[in-house]
Amino acid sequence: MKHGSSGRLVVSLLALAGLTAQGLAAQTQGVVAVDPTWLRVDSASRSAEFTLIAGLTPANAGMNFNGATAGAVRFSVPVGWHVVLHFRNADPNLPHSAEVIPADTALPTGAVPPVFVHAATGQMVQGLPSGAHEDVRFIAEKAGAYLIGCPVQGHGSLGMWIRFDVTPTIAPPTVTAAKQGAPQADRPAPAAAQGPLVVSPPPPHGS
Amino acid sequence: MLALYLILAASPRSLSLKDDGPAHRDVMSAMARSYVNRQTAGWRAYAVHTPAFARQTGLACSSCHTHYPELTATGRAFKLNGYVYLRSDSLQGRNPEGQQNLLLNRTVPLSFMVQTSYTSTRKAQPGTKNGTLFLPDQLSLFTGGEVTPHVGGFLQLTFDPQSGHIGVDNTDFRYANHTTVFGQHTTFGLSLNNNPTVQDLWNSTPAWGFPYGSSAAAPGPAASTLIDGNLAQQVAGLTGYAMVGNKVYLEFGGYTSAPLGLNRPLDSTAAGVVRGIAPYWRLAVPMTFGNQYLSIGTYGMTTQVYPAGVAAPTNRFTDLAADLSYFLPIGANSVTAEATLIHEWQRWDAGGSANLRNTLTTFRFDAMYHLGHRYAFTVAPFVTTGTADTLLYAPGVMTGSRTALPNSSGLIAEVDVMPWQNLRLQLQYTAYRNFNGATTNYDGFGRNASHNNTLYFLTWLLF
Repeated sequence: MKHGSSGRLVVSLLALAGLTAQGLAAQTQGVVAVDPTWLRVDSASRSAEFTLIAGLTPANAGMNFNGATAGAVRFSVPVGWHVVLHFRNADPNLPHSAEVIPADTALPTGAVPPVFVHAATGQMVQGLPSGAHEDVRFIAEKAGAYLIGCPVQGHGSLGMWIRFDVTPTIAPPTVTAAKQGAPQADRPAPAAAQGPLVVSPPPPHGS
Repeated sequence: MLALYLILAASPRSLSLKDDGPAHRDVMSAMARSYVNRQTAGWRAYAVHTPAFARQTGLACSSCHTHYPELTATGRAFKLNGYVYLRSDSLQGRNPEGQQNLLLNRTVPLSFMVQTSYTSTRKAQPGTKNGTLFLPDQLSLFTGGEVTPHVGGFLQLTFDPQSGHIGVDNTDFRYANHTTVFGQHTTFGLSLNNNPTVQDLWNSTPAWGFPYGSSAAAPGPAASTLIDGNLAQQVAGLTGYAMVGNKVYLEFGGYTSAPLGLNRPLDSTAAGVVRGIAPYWRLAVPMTFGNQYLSIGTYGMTTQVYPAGVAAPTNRFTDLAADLSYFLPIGANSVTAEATLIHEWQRWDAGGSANLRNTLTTFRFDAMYHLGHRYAFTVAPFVTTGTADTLLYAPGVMTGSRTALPNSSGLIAEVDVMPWQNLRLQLQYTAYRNFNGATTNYDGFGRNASHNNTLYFLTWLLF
């Protein structure tokens, strides 16, 4: 899908189902504030574009996507849709990348093959440097629960992942927020061999 | 360079960390000993980044290192940004205006390294017992990390069992910030450090280059360039750097003498003093090809050294180097490679050499295959060549040269096992083809290069 293509029914769903309610509430309850511009939907071409920003906020010391960690944002698309992730690394300190992985296996500590063809940025292991951006285009060809995580060594283990659901329904794509760091019952434990270091909640970084 | 080393040796305290001990003392004159000691100091390349950083960042060692001290992209970014990335809990303070003016890591930024080793050469060094056990081989205390949101550092104190002294080892404190240059995200900063290239981001430069651990008990080649570790902890330098768009890295600065254990200000009793400021430069161009990473670059410095005191003719050493770093992930495994080529022009106006002008060239390459984060296999050829000089490279038992040549070459093979990320077992074998100018009878006293082949077993504990 090309940006700004006209003649098509490009619908910017500014307030998708749970988006507005949760997004507005987020500002006062410590929940990620979902920016409506993150999602653009073209129903005609069955494509969804999602702006995926690594290190958008100081949350988790920059190890977050769109300010969310550990599944605190959920991006859903119907099965068979074309997905474009507009990835950008806004973290001034660390390199990051992104890939789509299954949600039903142990969280990998590093890069693994993405669950869908091309569903990963380049330089998965090294990460893209601060300020870099890249578009990831793939087809959500199988319904299921997935994660969008940072495969740079150790980043995913520290909570740098959000949820990505491919639904078998025809419901339009959505982006919803949950409470930051809320327990995720269906979230598998990280791999034991090189599990994450347990750290206390990060302080606001006053840089 | 002999003169430089003789001069440096004039202060026992300044050499306290690098003395090679009784084995050498038994067979070498004081002058030759100091020469080889300094060379051996350059040959050793100990020091790693520290668990204190892991505690500060919440990142496991393997996030920043393949096999330490080799850095990953995350490790380079952490260093580039001044060691300031902080995830652990901190103590914060604000002034009456509400501005933050304190950010202290609640975790004490300390960590320790204990190394134990066993060394055996193919033939015992003259007059010594073969098979040397060090417990510890090296004992280091590390501190550092974030000081303020834009200032951080790294400081290593090391106890050397051969000399029995504790000294300041590698040190790098820096300021880092961000801006935009030509539309590119740019990280810029200043580094205050005590060893040219210790501030570098790549493991292809001398301070953090392979071998990461080598024996202090085994004889090492006599000659190495000045930038190749011979100024470590003898100088202090301030450099400014910028990484523009992760495409170009530029650094420029200068170094001057700051030896430890000498009277200040430096006077006629000092030795090996750098005249004025020795300029240092660095240019690197990192690039990626898919998941592969490559950085090529150049670095160097020009140094004028007073052989004695602080007023006299100087000898000039100009080092120009090229380097390369490469990374290739293969599933959960990876290949890393580093290379450096250093060429040194020497001008001995103040004496100390048989020739007015000499050159010295060193090439090193290492290729390491990382099997996950647990095993690593390395091969590393090395070669040094240079001008024949009967004074610099005179015959001498084991450490001298019959041919007056500095030429040495060989291969290092190494296996590393890390059952835990902070426990490393290293088995290393160094095989020499040439040593100090020849393969056989290189010292004029019947010793062959292969007699110095060294088996070295080293354990690293970091906590």
